[in-house]
Amino acid sequence: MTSASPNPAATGGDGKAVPVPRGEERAWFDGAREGRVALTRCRACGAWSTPRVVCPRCWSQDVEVATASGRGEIYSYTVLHRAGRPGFEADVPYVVALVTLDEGPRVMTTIVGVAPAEVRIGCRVRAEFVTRGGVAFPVFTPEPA
Amino acid sequence: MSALDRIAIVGAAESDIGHAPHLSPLGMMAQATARAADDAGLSIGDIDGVFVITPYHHLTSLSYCETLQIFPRYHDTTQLGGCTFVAYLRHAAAAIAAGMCEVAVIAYGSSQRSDAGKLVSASEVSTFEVPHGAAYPISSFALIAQRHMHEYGTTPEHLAEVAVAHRAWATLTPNAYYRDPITVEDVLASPMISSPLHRLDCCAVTDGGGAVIVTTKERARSLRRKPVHVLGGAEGYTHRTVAAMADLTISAGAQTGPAAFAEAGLAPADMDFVQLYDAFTISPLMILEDLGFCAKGEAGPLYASGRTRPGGDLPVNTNGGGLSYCHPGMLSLFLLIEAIRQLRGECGERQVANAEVGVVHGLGGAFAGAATAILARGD
Repeated sequence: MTSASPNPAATGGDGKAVPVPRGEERAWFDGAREGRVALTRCRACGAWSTPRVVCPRCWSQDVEVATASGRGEIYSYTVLHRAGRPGFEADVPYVVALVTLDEGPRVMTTIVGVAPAEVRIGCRVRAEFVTRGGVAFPVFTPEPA
Repeated sequence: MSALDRIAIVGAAESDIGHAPHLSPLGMMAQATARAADDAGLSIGDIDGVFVITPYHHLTSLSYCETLQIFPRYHDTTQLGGCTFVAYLRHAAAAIAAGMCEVAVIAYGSSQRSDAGKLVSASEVSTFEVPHGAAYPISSFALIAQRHMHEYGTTPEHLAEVAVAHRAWATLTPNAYYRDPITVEDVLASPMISSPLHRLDCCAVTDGGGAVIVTTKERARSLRRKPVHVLGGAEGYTHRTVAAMADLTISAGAQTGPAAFAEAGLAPADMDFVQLYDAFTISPLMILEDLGFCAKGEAGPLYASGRTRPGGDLPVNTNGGGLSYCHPGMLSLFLLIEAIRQLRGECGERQVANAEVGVVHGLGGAFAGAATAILARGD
């Protein structure tokens, strides 16, 4: 009998977990490696979503990977004063936020390039890309005023 | 006739709670079940339907039944998060009404205090959340709280008032985990964990198990206890990962609360008490709003007014709740048990006078799942 976690996560050299995407989930991370925020767009109704094989608005299976603008707005945020996961001890305080992308989907991300105390709901942000343990993902930073 | 009209709650008990290193999770479930069966005047061998979940046992109902050596004809291990036990009331009612079982037990146990002194969770972390270091579940609740503050002017002081009010009830509860009174200043001076939530905005982390026994109203007539009836109930959800919560300030309670009240033919103003899920201080504020006890944004001032405290006209979490009484990972079974005890008049110094009907509301995950039940004293 084998033992496998339902949520595998390798560990990067910095001790932080690295996601192990499966199937359609890979589009998000593969896009980030190329410097793109990759979403799913429905050919039937035009809705954008985080990676999926069935459109969550009209339930069409006619969907494609598409590149988003990489811009959005902070919908909410929290400043972590204690490490929320192993490996983040040296990062505190750090900002985890929900960003509503201009195409509609909302994602959890890290806000970088700004003092935590300066972060505000409604702040316009754009994507930057980080690679950890060979897996790339977007983080967001405030747009220049 | 609703399935809920067919059933009565006839037994309820907790295992040893708080710090119980002499009991495993299954041991707590077994002890609570034995106590609940005694309470009802039934034998464990009468149980023919089980509605159980614990994060410690992947095949929970099989592990639980093996421990007790019972072989029920109905199993349900639905997992909606911490609200699951309130949802199980409806599930049990449906199974009983369909004739698929007659004596149903709803049970839970967790040794998370003795294990680690911190939340033990079987929850996976979303692949898309893994890189960002959010603490689950507190950061999700923190994101919700921050947005509620932004939209409605809720303040850190309002959040702190929740912890203070629930602690005031715990001072009247002999076996509460935390019993020393606290102030708003104490909450705000406690370490910030994930802003805007401080240490004292977070629940206790305890051991604990519980069991509730449900059967037909007919069978309840021959049993030891005055029954408790379920007048209305509902379950729902809004999301799994907090990024998918369409509006961070509106929970699934806005679906389940009105639906449960409608089924009961009652309104929030008819409730003698509220038992609600309070893992973090933002939750009671949103739940009171979503269930219709006040308008959006008004729950902070409502708490600050003192109405929810002992002696107030809207008693909330009368044993101190998850913030002060006990919180062994999944809370709503303990909310149900406190509601049953209030309706039976067993609550001593914290007893709500003439408690005849009350509402229990659980949430699951990070304000993701929800279940509501309206309970009433039977004849």
